[in-house]
Amino acid sequence: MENKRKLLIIDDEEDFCHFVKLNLERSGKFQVLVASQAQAGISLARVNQPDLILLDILMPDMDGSQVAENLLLEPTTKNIPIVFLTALAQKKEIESAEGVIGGRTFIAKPVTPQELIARIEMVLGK
Amino acid sequence: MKNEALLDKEYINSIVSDMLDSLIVLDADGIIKTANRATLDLLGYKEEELIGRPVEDILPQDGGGAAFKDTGLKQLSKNGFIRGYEIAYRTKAGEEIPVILSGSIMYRESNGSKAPMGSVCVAHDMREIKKLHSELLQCDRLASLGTLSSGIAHEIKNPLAIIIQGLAFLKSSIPSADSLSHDAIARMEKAGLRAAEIVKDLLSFARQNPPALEALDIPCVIEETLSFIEHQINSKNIKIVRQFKPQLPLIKADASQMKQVFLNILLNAIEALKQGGSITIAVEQLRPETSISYLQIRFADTGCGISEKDLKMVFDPFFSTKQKQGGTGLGLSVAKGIVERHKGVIWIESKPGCGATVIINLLVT
Repeated sequence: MENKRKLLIIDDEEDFCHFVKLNLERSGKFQVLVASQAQAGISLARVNQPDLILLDILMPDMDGSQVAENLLLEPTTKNIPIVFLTALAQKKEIESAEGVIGGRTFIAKPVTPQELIARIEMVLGK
Repeated sequence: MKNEALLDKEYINSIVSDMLDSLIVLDADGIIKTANRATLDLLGYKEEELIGRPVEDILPQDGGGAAFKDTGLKQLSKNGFIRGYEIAYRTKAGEEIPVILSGSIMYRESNGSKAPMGSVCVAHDMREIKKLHSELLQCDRLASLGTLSSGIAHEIKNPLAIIIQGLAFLKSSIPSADSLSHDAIARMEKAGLRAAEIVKDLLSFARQNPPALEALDIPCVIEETLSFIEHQINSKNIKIVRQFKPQLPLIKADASQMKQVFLNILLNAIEALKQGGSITIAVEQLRPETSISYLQIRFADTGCGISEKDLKMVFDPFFSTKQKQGGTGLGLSVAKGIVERHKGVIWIESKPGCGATVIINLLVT
């Protein structure tokens, strides 16, 4: 149990979060926290110190790049790796968004659990 | 004075004869009395063959001719003129040529009153205008489709992501002995992933990004593309024959867009091939000694080929002969769009049963 990596998903698509949590946890490798609102996600990150954050870009209350910026400004969350998980059309669109997105890992939706796990493990350095 | 009258007649004859639009004169019974050179050229008749024929002989047989008599000629005799009447002329060979026709009644003055003696009709060949119009419509349609596709694709991705994750969860929840349920889920997963592919294709189609030009070694780009699809090539035991001429010039093009073009063409070729077929990829420079030189890239497969009917539509968006195998019909449209944005041309030569060759010409600058 203690070997499981802690992940936080911040995404306003609640059903998507629900299934991603189930699939990632079923793999036995991860413990998954979910926030369907950006502000709640920032609080959860502060309190729970996840190993990695899966972050949606287009959310109603706050843009994903703003969330990332907030996390980077805080000493307690600035070193948590962020992977953008998005239905945005392509990398160029993501990179052209203002803020801290450029150069970070992103995963395009839809994604299979196997692909998702492979990408997460790559970022976590496994 | 007589000479002047003769000159005037020659002058008028020359106007009629040399004008670029078709001119015919009909008598009161609709018999062709005069036809200028443009008419003869358009219809393929000699003058002696055409003069004396009823006008119906140069009108369509499928009702268009009768409709002209019913409405066009009636309008002409009622109003004294007809303007902008759309009809087709039928040539000697039976081809129908769309024309726009204007005509007026010719009157003879006698004892202070005017009596109709026939009509003069001028027709303008509309083929070029119709072609341009249809190209314009196609451009408009593609532009709207692009915008629509982009919007829809983005909205579809989120629900699709939920379905794919949900099915994966169900799959891992069902006991492995329940093969029927596993089979059902596998089929749904396949459909979900196919929908995801369609969305991806739609987005490629919708993206009309201007190419980011850099100097590219086209054979290298082809090799990189081949490495993406090594698995598909090997699983079908397909032989790749490379015919790259030495000392090819670099081409200014967008690397990722060019890879997309080659990938779409190669995936199509692989689909068309049975086990053990081959794809010959040839690259050569055409007219290297001239100022306008092209790099020609040819992908020739030994597959089933394309019928003449399908060949006309292969670049149309959503046209696919392999929908059952998951084709979206956007691959070649995307390829064509990219090549044209590079100011290049792409076309296909094929005959059923004799394979197909996709040819791309890119300008060497």
